[in-house]
Amino acid sequence: MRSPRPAGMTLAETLISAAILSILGLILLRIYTVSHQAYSHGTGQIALQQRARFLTEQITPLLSAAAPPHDGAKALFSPNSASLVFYVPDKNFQPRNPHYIRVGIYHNDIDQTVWLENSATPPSNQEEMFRSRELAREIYDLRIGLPTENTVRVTVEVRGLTRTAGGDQAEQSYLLENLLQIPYYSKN
Amino acid sequence: MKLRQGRRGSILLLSIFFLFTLFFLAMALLQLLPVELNAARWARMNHEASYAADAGITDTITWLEEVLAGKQGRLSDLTEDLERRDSFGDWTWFVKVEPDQQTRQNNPVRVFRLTSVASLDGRPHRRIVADVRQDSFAHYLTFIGASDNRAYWRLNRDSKLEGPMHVNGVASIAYDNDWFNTGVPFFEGTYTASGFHVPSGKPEGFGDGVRYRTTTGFDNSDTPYNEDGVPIPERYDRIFTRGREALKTGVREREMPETSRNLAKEAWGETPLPLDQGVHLDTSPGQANKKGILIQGDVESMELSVVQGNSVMTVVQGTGEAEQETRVTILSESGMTLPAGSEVNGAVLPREMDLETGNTVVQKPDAGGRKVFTVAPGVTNGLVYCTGSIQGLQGQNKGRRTIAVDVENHKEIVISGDLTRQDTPVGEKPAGTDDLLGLLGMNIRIGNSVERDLNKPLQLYCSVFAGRKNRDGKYEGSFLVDDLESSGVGKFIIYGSVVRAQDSPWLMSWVNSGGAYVGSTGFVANMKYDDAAAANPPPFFPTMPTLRVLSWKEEPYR
Repeated sequence: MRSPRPAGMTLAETLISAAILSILGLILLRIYTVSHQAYSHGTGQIALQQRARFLTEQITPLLSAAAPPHDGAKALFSPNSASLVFYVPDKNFQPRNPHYIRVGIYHNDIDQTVWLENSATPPSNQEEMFRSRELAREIYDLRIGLPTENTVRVTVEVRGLTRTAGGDQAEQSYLLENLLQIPYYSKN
Repeated sequence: MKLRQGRRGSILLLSIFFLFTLFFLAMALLQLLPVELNAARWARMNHEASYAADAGITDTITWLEEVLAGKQGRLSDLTEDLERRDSFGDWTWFVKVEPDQQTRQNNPVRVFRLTSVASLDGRPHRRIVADVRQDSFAHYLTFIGASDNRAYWRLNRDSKLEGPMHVNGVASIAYDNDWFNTGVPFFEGTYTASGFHVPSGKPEGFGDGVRYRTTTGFDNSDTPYNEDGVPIPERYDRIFTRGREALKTGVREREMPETSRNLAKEAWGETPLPLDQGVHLDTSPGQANKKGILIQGDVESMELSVVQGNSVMTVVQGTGEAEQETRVTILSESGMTLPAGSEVNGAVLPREMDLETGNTVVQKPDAGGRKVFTVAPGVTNGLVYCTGSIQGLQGQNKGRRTIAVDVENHKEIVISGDLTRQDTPVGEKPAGTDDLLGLLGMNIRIGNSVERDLNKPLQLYCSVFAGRKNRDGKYEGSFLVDDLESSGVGKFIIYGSVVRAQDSPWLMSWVNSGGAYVGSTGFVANMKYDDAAAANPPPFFPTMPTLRVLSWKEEPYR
């Protein structure tokens, strides 16, 4: 007569189960950590991307209005890699007697802001779209290049901190590059 | 069935753990994805909207240019507001075309405001507002209807070409041997040419389309591009202020009009021109502002002047006993009193007659001992059209004016002295467009009566349009110097455009049998660009069927 199977687990079974569960737990913890990091990184990237996109969406319509003040002149020039000067139609633009005013976009690397500066004075002479103002904040770097006289390359770099799974903070950056063709040149 | 015993809930625990982990991952994805998707969708929609609105503007400009070229539609339709629309895919664009006030009044330089709105499923998303202006030949500082294969533009260290230049045909440029080391940019504006030159032995499209030569002859190593045809930027920078970007070859030909007879209609209207020699003015109420001044027959001399603030034009026709002097006064600043007993519009005045500003007075040669006047209420549209040639023109101009002669009959204008402007001191660049002068003829000539003295340059404040493209497609007529080979060197300074059908020299350099330079004859030219006149040219100065975008504003539709 066979003896009845003892109830419960043997020590070996318990140890093996505990080991398997520990390994599974570790794998799951790793998955969780990676997921959390990916989530934090992803949300951080999205926030940075939105900040960079916001600036390029502010700049693009401004640059698309650029036109040379007269034939033989350039519509835009870049005094240095962090600023751009260009001409736009003045507030009361008269096509039969056209006047253009000088505006500039520059990056202040001390407080990490980007500004639009309009040369028309007093400010009431500045058209709403082109009035002097702060365009964006928390912009780590703005680089402006002119590959040709009718295209502008705008590179925006933004940086931010994200919290890791361990509670530490890590810096991440996002680089957005836009190449814009000035309609004045493509149409004329 | 035997129940399995001794199994505890470890599977359940594991399942719950996995479920929670997956739940958190899904939550994270759920939060990430919509934000990312929305951002991507928004960016894509903005781009599509921008392209759709842009398509509306481009399509409308093309259509307007076809109407201006007479290929479709009617020009008269362009004096009213218009609407155009089209769709592609889910997007539609709607363009409103608004002519400006002067276009509504049939100004030949037409200006429109185009507002293009891009919509998706009927919902507007983006708007572009663009101002476009019809191109005028006054846009060019210098224009040549047909390039001459023998002629080169010689880069000069002492002068510059301040404005745009266009050549129908191949552009030809000559320079000193060491120009790329020591030269300074000669062309400050754009240089466009409809032709494209390929150096011999090179494949189609090689180089930049310009025919170059140096003082000692053509040499491939002396072009602003290397032997592979790759531009050398620093060399272009020594030719053009804006470098390689300023040069465009292979552009479309800019055709000069065949006739100026359309201007006779602008000066006199649709009715047949009066046949008797003299100065004619439509005295019908309301017509003197819409029409110009018509001169029938050849003019021996025409003197422009300003008297008491009013513009005066003194016209002499005939010679000897047949000489007749007519004086046209446009009362813009001060009035005039006509004496009793004089004849005004066919009636004899019983007493003095005071005329206020806003009238035009033509004083004709006395008849029967009486002064004879024609008075019209209005200050004319600025056009003076002469069916004959004008053998001597000089003086000071006031008001926006174009003096045109019959190009089809090869009539000419001879400049006999300075042509200055009331609003600009001599020697200074014009600041406005109030006193613009345009000249239009088959040939515009600097007459042999003009003194040739380099220290006393001939001052020409005017835009010149000389010549035409005839029915056979040949360009004829030019801006010339009379007796070019006669001794003496003069200088002319012109503030405005020089548009001419044929290239023609103004200065001749002479060499002896040994090839040594022995002197020059003719005129040294100094052309100054008047950008105000380019934007707002003299009245009825010829235009082109093309539009230029002057402003561009793109914004989200609100």
